[in-house]
Amino acid sequence: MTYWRLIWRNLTRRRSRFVFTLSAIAVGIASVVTLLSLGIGLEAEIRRQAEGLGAELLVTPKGWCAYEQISVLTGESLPEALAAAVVDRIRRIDGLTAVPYLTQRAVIRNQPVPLVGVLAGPMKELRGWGLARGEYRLDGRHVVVGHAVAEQFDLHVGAPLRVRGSEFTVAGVLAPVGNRDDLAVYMDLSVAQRVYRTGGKVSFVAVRVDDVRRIDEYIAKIQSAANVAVVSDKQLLRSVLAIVGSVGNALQLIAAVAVLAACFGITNTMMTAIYERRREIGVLDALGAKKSTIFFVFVGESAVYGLLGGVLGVAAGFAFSYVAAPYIGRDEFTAFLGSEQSVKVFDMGITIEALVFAVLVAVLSGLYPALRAAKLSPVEAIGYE
Amino acid sequence: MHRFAPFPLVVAISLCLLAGAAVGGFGFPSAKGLDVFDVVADPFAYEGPITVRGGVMRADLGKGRFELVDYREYRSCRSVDCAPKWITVFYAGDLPQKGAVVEVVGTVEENAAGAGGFVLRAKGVRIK
Amino acid sequence: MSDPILRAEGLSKVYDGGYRTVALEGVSLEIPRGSLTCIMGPSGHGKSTLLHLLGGLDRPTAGKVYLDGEDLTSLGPNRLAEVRSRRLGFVFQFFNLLPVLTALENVQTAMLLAGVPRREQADRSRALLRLVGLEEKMHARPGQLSGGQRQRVAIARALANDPDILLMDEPTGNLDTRSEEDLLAHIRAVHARGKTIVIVTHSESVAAMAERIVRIRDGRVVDGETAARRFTNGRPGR
Repeated sequence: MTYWRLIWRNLTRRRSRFVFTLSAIAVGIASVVTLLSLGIGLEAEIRRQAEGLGAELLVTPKGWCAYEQISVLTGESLPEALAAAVVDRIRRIDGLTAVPYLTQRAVIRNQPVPLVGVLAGPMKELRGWGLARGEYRLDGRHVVVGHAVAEQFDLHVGAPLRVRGSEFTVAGVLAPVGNRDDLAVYMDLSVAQRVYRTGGKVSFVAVRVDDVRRIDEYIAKIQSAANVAVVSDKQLLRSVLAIVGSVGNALQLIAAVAVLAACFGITNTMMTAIYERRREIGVLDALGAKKSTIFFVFVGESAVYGLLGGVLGVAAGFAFSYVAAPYIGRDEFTAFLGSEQSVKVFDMGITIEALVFAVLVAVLSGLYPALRAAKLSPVEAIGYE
Repeated sequence: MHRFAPFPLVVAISLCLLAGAAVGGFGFPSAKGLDVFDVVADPFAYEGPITVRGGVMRADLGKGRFELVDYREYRSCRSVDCAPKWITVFYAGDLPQKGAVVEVVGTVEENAAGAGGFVLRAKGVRIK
Repeated sequence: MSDPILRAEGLSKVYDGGYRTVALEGVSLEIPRGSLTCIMGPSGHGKSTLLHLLGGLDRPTAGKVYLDGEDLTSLGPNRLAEVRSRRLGFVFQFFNLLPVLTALENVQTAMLLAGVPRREQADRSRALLRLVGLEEKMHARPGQLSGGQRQRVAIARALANDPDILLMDEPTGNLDTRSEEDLLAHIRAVHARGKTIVIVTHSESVAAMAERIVRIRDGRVVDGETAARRFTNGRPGR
């Protein structure tokens, strides 16, 4: 005999009540998990992509809104807007490395795939890329592909690739890096400009500075050299998060209400249980149970409710996130990423957080009833009929 | 002893999902398919029939054609009038109205009459 | 009386919940080691209250209870729980067993509360259930047992931690005659093993096997007699 067996037997003695209380917790935790997997999962994704940028500053055409800024992070095709002369002027400024991007779309087997026109040398240095296979060769006839793209379309070194009617060969496959770099095809910038007929223009320029402390100085220099907008990586992150954050409010409210309702559910269930089991509490007293033991048994019951409800809630939450993400996450970022990329179908961090939260909330909800049970005088409990 | 009853659990979770969905919003029609920006980037690379989702920017009843803007852009800015790129769709059936979210099944054809030198010849248009 | 295991001195219990009820008043008595004592008296005259005070389940308004010289009334709740767990065994009239546990688990629970290791719990519990003739019903829940069988489980449970004293509150109050006789045989067997037993009862057949009877009326001890005296006087047990 163990305390856990005693707790479990007590919990399951009234099956329908057990199931209802568990459902309430599961629903509460499911909404929290949905919130986390949609919201925080998304935020983590944005941060990851922003870090993947590998630059402190982003030079964009003036008048770009969050819509386009998000596209920088998602690797979406962007209007070609910065002229070659502008790029040259920025590159001539001392103390910084400017890497222009032309983000476009290629098509492999009727599937759109991001294609980025880059300067081969500076880009490799900026991103710190390694090679999984083949060679890093970007020219009029060769491209390299991200690891995920190679896997998805089974692209080997030497495989042909047709982009807007021009024939290319896959020269190499990049080593996996864990961000959107894995999801794109890379082409030499001037070749891409020719193929996509952008007239020497690029989409944006990523800038890495030598001295981060002088970042404001660099911004001023770039702005005086060209009529462009300059945002720091932190500003970019902030503005994107601001948009994404505003979407979570409705979800947060649902989650809060659901969790609160679950808490009351547990408290109510435990109070009823104590009322019904007063005699048994008295018997335990007579058998020599300490107040702390009775308290532990009842708190333990709440905790098990929390844990089981948490497990069900986590499963339901992830399932719900997966099914409902396209409808709920209707902000710009998710709209662009697409539901598949923005929702974490399973995340260990969220799972652990949600389970700890569930147990904690359940224990808190069970404290008052457990205290009442422990305070019950043995004679009062036994004398109750 | 009571029998295990999964029914209340199913009802409770379904109710919550419905409530969540109602507040979270099924406000914007859901649509599946390729995006306009993806097709515009390299239209002739698509072979055979494809499904493209988008918002109707303009419908020209007399000519059996309408213009399709990017679904995601439409969903985020809720306007069909500010799109930088669009696809021209030729369709013999009933044309959708401006602002409608549609899934168009069709093939890409070279045609100078269309934006970007191509049109999407539609076999079917599903209004969402 | 020599070597009392349990001794009460001037025990009073007053309930004051709106109106004052004196349940016990100035009760002093001694329970000899190894004796079988019955507490008798009309309903509502303080028998159960006395048993609860003797067993440290309740605290008196005045007076002391000594268990082997240790004053139970001055002990803290944890120490008192420990005394209940290791030195005393209780059997009540109703709702004695935890309904969600099997007979075996009910006995084991008493051991669990006393901190007995799991492996030891099972062996000892089986032995105790065999002692009360329930080896066939070890895995039955209380709902599947007759009233008499339930009380026998309760006795096995009361014996779980090898206590010095068994305190029983109307153990046969809910049983038919046959079950009562059966239970009494088991109580006698336990007593024969040297346990001190105190039984609150209305039953003459229970009283008949007592070595000593304490009669309570209006919260006071009106008569404390030994079996020898009782039989000499030729008086019935009541």
